[in-house]
Amino acid sequence: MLKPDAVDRYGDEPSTHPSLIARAKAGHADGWTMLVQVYGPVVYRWMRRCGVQSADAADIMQETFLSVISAISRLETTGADTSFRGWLWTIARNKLRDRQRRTLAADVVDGSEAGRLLETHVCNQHDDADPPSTTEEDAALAKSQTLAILRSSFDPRSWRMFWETAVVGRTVADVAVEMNVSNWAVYKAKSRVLQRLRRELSE
Amino acid sequence: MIATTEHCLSLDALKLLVAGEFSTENLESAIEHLDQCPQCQTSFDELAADELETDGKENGTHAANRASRLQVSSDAAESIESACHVAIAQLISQFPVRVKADASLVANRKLGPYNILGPIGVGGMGLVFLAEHERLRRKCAIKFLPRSRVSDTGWLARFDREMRTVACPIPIDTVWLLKCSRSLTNWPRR
Repeated sequence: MLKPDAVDRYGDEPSTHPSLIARAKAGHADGWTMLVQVYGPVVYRWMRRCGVQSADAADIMQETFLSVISAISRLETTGADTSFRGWLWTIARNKLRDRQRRTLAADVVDGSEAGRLLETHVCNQHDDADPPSTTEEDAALAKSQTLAILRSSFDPRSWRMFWETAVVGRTVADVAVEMNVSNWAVYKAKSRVLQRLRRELSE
Repeated sequence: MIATTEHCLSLDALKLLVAGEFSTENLESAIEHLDQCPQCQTSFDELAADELETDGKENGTHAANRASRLQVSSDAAESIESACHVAIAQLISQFPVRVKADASLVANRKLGPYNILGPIGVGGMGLVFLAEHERLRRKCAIKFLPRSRVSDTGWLARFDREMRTVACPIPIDTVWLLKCSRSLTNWPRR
């Protein structure tokens, strides 16, 4: 379980809900899928902001999550400064450095003073303890991904029935008439969506 | 109260249904009942709409508000580059690879009268192992559902349908189903 201060750094960031990390650690396919879908774009954007081209950024993102798959079972979330975002950045940053070193090794003659200086510069260039984005930016991107994922898991009409009644506040009867369905059909859709949202966002 | 095709839902159960607080494992059976029960639907509509709406909103407000706060500009989602989308899709398609790691825990174990010899294949439904009856020396295939799917009634129903299909007498070039069991929720132990 993430410490309260770690969760607070994300505000109400849903993607770092302990249930999502717990599902991923347990090896549940749906947990992994959601973790990658929510945080994959975050890691990708980190790489792009480090000046990495799109194809390389995609590769580093994949390498990062392949390491996450292996390492998440060992993730300790009880340390004072532990946060999933920080842990993820550490892995991504290391993958970036590794790729930069490999690229450098292919271009520079081993043992040259210039080569050593250049390698040092490349390594130090991405030595920041924090990602090249704010917590709020990453939370916003993760949030939009979470909503998109949840929305795509329902048919558009069901989602609309839920959204118009539970969020917009229209009456069930009003939405039922507009969509040419029974009141029960609207309630049924609303119940299913609420059930899923409660499970994904409120655990 | 668990809804069945014979028993109608109570008012409290209907309120839970609207509020999204119905138990997950019984939700679909409750919905199925109301789909087929005009009496329950009538009861549903006859209840004070405000009472249901109020109770439903109060109980469902938290989840719905969370959803509304997640509503960010569509530009945020659309700004994700295609290279990222492709890479994510490739990553997700590789997740069954993890299932293969579980195969090592099953091979060389015993399941009833069968000795598990080794994995045959991995698919979306789970792992398939080659096994041999210890006395009859007859080889067969044993399919295991992923542990995470055991409590999923939809997956179990699909598994059952597949088993019934395979069990039907059919031509000689089709495998024969010998046995289907659900008693393996705690097996194998890590």
